[in-house]
Amino acid sequence: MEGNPPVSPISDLILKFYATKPFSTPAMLGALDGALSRHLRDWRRGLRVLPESQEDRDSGTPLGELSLADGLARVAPMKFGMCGANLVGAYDGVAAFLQCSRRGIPPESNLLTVEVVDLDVVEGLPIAEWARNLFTAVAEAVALRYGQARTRAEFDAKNMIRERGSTRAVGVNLKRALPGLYWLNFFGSEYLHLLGLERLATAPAPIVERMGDGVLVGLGHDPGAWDTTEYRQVEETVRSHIGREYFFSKSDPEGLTKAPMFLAHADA
Amino acid sequence: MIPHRLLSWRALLLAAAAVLAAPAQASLPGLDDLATASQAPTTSLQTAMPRELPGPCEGDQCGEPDAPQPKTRVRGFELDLYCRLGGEDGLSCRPRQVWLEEYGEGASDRLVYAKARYFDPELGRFLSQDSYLGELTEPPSLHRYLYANDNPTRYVDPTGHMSDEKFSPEINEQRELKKKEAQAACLADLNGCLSRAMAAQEAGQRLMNRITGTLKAIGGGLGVLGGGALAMNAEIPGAPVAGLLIMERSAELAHSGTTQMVTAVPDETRQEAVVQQKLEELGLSREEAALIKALGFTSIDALGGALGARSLAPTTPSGKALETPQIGPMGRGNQKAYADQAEELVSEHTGVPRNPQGPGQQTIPGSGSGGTRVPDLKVRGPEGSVRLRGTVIEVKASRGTSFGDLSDRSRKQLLDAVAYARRLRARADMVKDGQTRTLLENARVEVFSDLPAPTSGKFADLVEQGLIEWKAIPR
Repeated sequence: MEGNPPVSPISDLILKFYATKPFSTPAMLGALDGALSRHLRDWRRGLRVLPESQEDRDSGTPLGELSLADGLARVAPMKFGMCGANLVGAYDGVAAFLQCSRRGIPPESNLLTVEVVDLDVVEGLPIAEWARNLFTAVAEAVALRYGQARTRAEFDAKNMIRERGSTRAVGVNLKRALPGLYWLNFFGSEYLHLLGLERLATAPAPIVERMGDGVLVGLGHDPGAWDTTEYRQVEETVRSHIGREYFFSKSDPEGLTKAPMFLAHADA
Repeated sequence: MIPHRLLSWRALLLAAAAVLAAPAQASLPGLDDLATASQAPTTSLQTAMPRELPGPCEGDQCGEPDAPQPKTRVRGFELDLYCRLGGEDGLSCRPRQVWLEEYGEGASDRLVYAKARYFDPELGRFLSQDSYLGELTEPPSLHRYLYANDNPTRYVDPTGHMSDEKFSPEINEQRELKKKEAQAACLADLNGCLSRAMAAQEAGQRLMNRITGTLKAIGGGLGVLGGGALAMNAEIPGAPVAGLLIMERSAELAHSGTTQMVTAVPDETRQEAVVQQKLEELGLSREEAALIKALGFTSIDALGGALGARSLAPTTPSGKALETPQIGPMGRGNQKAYADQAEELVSEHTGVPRNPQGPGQQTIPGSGSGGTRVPDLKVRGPEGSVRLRGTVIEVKASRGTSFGDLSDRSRKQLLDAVAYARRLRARADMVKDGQTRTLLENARVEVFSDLPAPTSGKFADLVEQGLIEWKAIPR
């Protein structure tokens, strides 16, 4: 990417996708599987669906020709209207954690987390480029409420509190506010309704794209640059443009905030 | 095993059947069908005809040999409170005794003669169907066993036939007086009252979810829940007043609509298939479904009470001196003492009592034996109050050095607790009280461990979601 600043050496990224519909239906899982197959082709060949308590790649049997929906139904069927499973692939360093809920309430209950650890190249691409490709592919294929992609360090700085032997996350309740602005942010239909398409589409950010049911806003091309002055300036400008009241802030954790009204799924 | 109260309920129904004349020609399809689908096909409500009931009679004129003898009070009934969370004042309560007094003389020690039919105060249900079929636009009125649309804070049923919102001045005055007395009692101990109500909710919620799902599966009986209410009675040992909670379900179920409700599954074979599929989906045996049906349709109160009494036993704050076990050198033989010490330390640190192994223990659904899990510390407070801190506390004592040293068993235990917290969060929007809602929205698992917090993987993700808060054991 000519003209872009050099990418900082990072080897871990977290992508989170908060789905509008239950991450348990064949349609949703089929769309997700399609995106994974395109951007994690080699990894997908050895895909295993594991119970939430297992993360070892040697556990379980590769899905093979089975669909993701079939694999999930076998390993982690719905219980009390909820399910959860871990997805591991043909090689270490990439894992996905799936949570689903029939009701869809709270809004975080249908969540896919893709975690990359200790890899600076994924499927032949630099990690940042690959992550952006996967992020946009999932956002286009799956109906999302919200999505974020960032390093763990960026999230730690903005949403984690570590003190006196305690480690906890703050500001992660979407019913209260957006947890923050990160490297990549996807605002789905509920946020479009709340904030307006124009406001999001005119965000003063290096990356603004309309895709799927929402808008992608990226604060830069380098996820590792989150702690630089330039990045922080962009972040502040975008935050002001969208509205500070929509975001959690660690410096004002009790501040009044606004959020969409999330409804339970009608077919729950 | 069928509970004693259920047996007595069955006996009462048999007795009532002997007293009353014709069998019902119509019934709302519901859990009945799950229990006896192949034996008892249902009929659409649209074709139902009013059943023949004995005409109104007075006291001895009724004449049936098995008719209950009149008495004025029902034993122990004065202790019940009928409370509603939310509303204008945040909470309103009234004694359920008012249900009986509206009928005046004619109550037995079990049954209340309500002119047109018999009412069982313990079950909170009529023992025969209402001859009034109800209105399609008012789903609760279609349930012909309910008292006052299952909403006695709003309706009365002075004739035994219909629910009426217009009260006589005398009844109105009596209701207001009772309401104020109950409200005053509740306001004097608001926390306790709320706690008891929440405890009742928790005790019955799991079952209610099953009932709701089951009813939806067969497309029937939604009117029983939608637009109406379910009452659950938590009988709390040692507590002077039992808490009762009405849960409004209309918002959640409104989308199902009246049309679906009155459409019974006409084909017996198809119905059986649907029932079987739903049973498998819910993980219920036919016997379980039958039990839920019996309790759910006619005795939610009894079930809530049974669950409440079992899980809400009073707790005694830990006052004993901390006993520090002699921890020997490394080795599994000492792990229990090591874990005991850690649990005691965390209990002292948090003020949350340890969860006993055996009588009085509190459980959560989980992947342990019997489908339950016993948290290390109690999850519900004294007198059956709402959970102690909105959290499940797990203690993971370990001599390991990294999160990876946590055993598979411990991981499963934590995930059970996380699943419980997720379910609490999922219920938050059903609660109107803001404080309680916030508590439920932020339900999480506090893990006290010697190991450092996870830095990657599933558990790190749960920490990022705020579902796990990782803490050091305060050694």
